[in-house]
Amino acid sequence: MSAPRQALSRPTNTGQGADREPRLLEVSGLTTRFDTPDGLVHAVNGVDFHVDRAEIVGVVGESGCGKSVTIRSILGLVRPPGRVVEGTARFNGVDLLGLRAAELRRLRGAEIGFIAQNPFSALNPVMRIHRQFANILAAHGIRSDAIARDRARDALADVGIAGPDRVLDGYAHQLSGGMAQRVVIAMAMLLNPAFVIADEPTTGLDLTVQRQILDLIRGLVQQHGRSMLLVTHDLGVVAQYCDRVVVMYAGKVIEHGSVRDVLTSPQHPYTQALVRAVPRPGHPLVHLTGRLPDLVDYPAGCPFQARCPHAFEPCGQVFPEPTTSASGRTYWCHLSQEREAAR
Amino acid sequence: MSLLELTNVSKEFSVGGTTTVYALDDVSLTVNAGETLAVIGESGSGKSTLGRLALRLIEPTRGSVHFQGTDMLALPAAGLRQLRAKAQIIFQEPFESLNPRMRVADIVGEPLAIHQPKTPAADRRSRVARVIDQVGLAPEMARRFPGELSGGQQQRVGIARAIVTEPSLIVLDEPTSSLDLSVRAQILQLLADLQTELGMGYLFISHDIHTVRYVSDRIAVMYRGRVVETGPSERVFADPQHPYTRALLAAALPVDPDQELPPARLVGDPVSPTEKVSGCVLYGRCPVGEDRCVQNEVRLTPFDADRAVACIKPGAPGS
Repeated sequence: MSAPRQALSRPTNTGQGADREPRLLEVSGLTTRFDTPDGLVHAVNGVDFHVDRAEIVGVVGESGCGKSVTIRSILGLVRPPGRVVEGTARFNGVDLLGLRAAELRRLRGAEIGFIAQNPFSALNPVMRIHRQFANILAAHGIRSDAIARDRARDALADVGIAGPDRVLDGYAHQLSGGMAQRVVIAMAMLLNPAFVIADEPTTGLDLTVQRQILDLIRGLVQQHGRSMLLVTHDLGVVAQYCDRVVVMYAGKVIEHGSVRDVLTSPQHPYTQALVRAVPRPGHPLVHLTGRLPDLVDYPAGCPFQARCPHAFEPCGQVFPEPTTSASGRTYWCHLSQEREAAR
Repeated sequence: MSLLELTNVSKEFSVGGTTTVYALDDVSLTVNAGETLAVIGESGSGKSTLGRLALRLIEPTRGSVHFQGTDMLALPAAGLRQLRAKAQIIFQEPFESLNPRMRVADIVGEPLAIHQPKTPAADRRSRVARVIDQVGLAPEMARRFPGELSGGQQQRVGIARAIVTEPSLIVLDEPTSSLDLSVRAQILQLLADLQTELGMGYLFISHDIHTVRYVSDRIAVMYRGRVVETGPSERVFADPQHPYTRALLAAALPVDPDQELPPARLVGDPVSPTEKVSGCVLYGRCPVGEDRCVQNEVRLTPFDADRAVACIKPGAPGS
């Protein structure tokens, strides 16, 4: 990784002195590889981004872009043959990647809540729901069944489940998809974490239920001044529920900034293609040709070059330096030099 | 004469001998030559069952299915096979619907071998090559196996296989929902181009509102086994009448962050398809439901010249 240009890369830090409070989450140079029979898969390649207090940050990209591996790396959930080979993920100043397993387990749940994509694989199918709540609390030192039941009831009420006892005494398979995801959200919020990570939390749900769940999650995050990292492939979810967005391609961040900046005037050609690929009546569909680069034989230069309509000579040689605007939007594209020269 | 006409079709599945799933309840619709009828609904709405019934891949419990005026349910096996050359299907998961041990050329050529066995092999080969080119695949892809292709390329193979017999109707069951956004756009464009070129009618099944709005001439909105609203898509999108249609359109999240999101008005989850519903299927979740919604049957009734709505107070404020 080449060092970003100083003047351009740090505008969001200006005004905060050296003794400023550490960011809620600051991921830097995160690199994760998978050693497979086909070769070393470059899943995450030097990813930098941050989450501030009381904001919702979306991570968007298509399958294979590394968004899920990124959050699994942060949470210490990457298992062999995968491993995090480089980088830091500082949470309130503490590098999560340097923590021992037990310390990380304590943080997960207590300070970082996790909402998985499929509620039915997050819930234990053969254990009553109340026992699963009790287990979470027991892992964090609360061993009284009566207290556990009260806490679980409150948590279920917070996610809009009327008659929580019926749910607590039942099993996951007795729940609809929307109810099961509510239970998972209640579990993620149970220990009142300041930070929530949600990985495609509504992908398997019906559209009308999706809205209810997204509204619910946002409400729970905002009411308590929490922050959230929301991983999604749906630009509509980003547009309506996030404050900032990080766009990933082939294991790299290629653009990030406020949702308005990125979605209404995308600068990176890939972000532009993503935004234009959403079918809209009266607009021609603009689509990409080609496919994701081989993550084993990772290309030199910009990983998007082979599909980019604007690719020119430097794109095949070196990954571009970041360009940051006054509003903090940053993108990584050689075209920026051309644009600046034209100005 | 319509290309495809389903009249009062119902389908009930028996599960484990004791439970009945009411998948489709008294559905009627038509697809005309060269047009796209989009069937939109959430999981469990019965839309996939409908697509399979349209091709008689499954048999309805009640009702009739006519294809180009022929009663499909009365056809003997040989007649049905002939007709299937004219009515094809494209599935959601391209990889799962392609034989992993067959090469692309053989997959695409298989319908020809079945439907036109007397065609000389050389003619068949040139027809396959032409179709492979038509769906935007490079000639060398013909020798590949499905596992060597990307998702978008696999779906192109599925499309090539469907159009090789020159059908007049294609049922498309969520043809792009397993594809990434940028690839999805390519496939939608290809399907639109092929329709213009070949004049096929599409029965396009989808849960994705952005996609449906883009591809359809008319739409049928399904909920819990019933069509609750139908009409020209522009008018249904601009001025939805059924509370469910309104909720569904409100649930589609605009990609423009400045566009204001309408409030979500439905509460709760859909009722289980194993429950027999009398009255309106949306009762209980509907913001404007009242007692008379369940006291009488609520069926699709004409709303204006070309729209129909299954609601006793269509367009009610607050829905």
